[in-house]
Amino acid sequence: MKRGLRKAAAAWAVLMVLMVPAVSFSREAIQEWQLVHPEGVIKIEPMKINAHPSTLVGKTVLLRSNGKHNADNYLTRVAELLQKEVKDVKIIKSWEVAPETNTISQNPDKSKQFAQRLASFKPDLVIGSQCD
Amino acid sequence: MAGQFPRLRVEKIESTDSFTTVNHLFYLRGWTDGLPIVPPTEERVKVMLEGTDLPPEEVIATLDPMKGEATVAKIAVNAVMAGCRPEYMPVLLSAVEIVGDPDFNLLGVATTTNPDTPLILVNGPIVKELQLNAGTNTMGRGWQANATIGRALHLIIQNIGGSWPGVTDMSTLGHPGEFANCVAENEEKNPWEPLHVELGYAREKNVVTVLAAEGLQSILGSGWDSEGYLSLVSDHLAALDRSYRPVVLLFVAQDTAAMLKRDGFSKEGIRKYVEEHARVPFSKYRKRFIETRKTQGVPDWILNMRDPNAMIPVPIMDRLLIVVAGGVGEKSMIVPVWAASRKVISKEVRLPSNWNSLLDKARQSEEVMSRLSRS
Repeated sequence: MKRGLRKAAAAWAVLMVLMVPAVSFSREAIQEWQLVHPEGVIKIEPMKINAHPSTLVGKTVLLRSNGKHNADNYLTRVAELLQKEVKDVKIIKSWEVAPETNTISQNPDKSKQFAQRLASFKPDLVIGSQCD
Repeated sequence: MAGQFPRLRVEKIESTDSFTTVNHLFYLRGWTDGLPIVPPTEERVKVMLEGTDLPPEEVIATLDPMKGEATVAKIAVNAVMAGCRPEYMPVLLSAVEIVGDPDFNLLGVATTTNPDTPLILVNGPIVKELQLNAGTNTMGRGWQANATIGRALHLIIQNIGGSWPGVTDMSTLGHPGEFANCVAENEEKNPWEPLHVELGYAREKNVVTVLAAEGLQSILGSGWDSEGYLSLVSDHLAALDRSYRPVVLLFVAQDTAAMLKRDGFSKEGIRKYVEEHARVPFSKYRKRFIETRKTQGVPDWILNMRDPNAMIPVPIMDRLLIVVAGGVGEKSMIVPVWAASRKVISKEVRLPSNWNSLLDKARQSEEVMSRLSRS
């Protein structure tokens, strides 16, 4: 009887093993990649920026228009507000004193030329219109 | 995340699905164009560098707007990402050199609110050698060389030059050509001199030209005779938005080119016709350009015009480039070039000393793949 039970148990064990679906317990392989970054090395040239004036009283403010639509209208309104709020401020409008700069510069060389032209008026502060 | 990433040369990625992980990471960092990229492993970059005999650390150009150094190695990394083959490197290096030229004005092209993007034009025997498509669908999809060389240049301008949409690239609409914009001239079907010969190169030279292309205008040439076609082209030009364009590119369909040649039109004849007919009455010109202050490049004689019926050329062009491209048919295209990119810049492609063995290797690889695909 005991031998018969042992035989039966063994048969059941074999049967169960055959019935259980084959399951892989191995882990998915980890891939290791060495990737080269695509960005360029950027050489930043340090630029000395002038200190902001602590007050605009008695100072010269140049309003620079880039010739885009309503740039002059917007800056004229800025001029009105400055003259109302700030004592003895002197306003220079670039499109009046240097009409050749009343356009987009289009390239760095022209930008520099325009900047030098406007700097010749010796402003303490420049407020410019940009982009569109 | 544009600009916010570890400044490493090489980064180790460990993942059970590295392809997906790399693509997600690179996308978040702003290094892709939105499409999946080929991960630039060290091995792949090494293989890409076989396409040139220039030293990897050589700086080909310094690219605006962020003044990133486009070294041969960094160009190769972006070429891998775009899906280029090594033999495409010489064309790509020439294109990078061109966009780095100050006269190309990449600073403007890459940051403007205008919808423009570099368009690469390729001439010479290299077109066939690289299987660049000059025929049907040359501006479209399907050819690895056209697609990946164009794509690589835009990835380079982004990743090396630092032109990130919405951060430094402020183009209101953008341009679909920023995914790929590389065309080969169909020199076989060109009844006149091909572009590079017109620009002063010998016919057998390989030449790359890059232009800052704006939106495309389709010209339905079907059914028109030569004068009708040129009149249509002139009317399209006269409707353009700027009073002055240094360059406009006209892609002439091959069958239209044959008709024009047969009817006695040379390239100069076409230009003369267009100059005489692409005009609007001064009353319209004044409203469109003078009253809105879009008068850059406009000569004084126009600004001083008084006769409202006088016909004024639109746009005033320094150059009308005429290129024959595409497949069978009569569908042409006008490509205005951005007004602030003033010169046509071309470079002869510098081939590496191992060029022939590079091409042989490419041919062998293609033969193997062809056999596999048939089995």
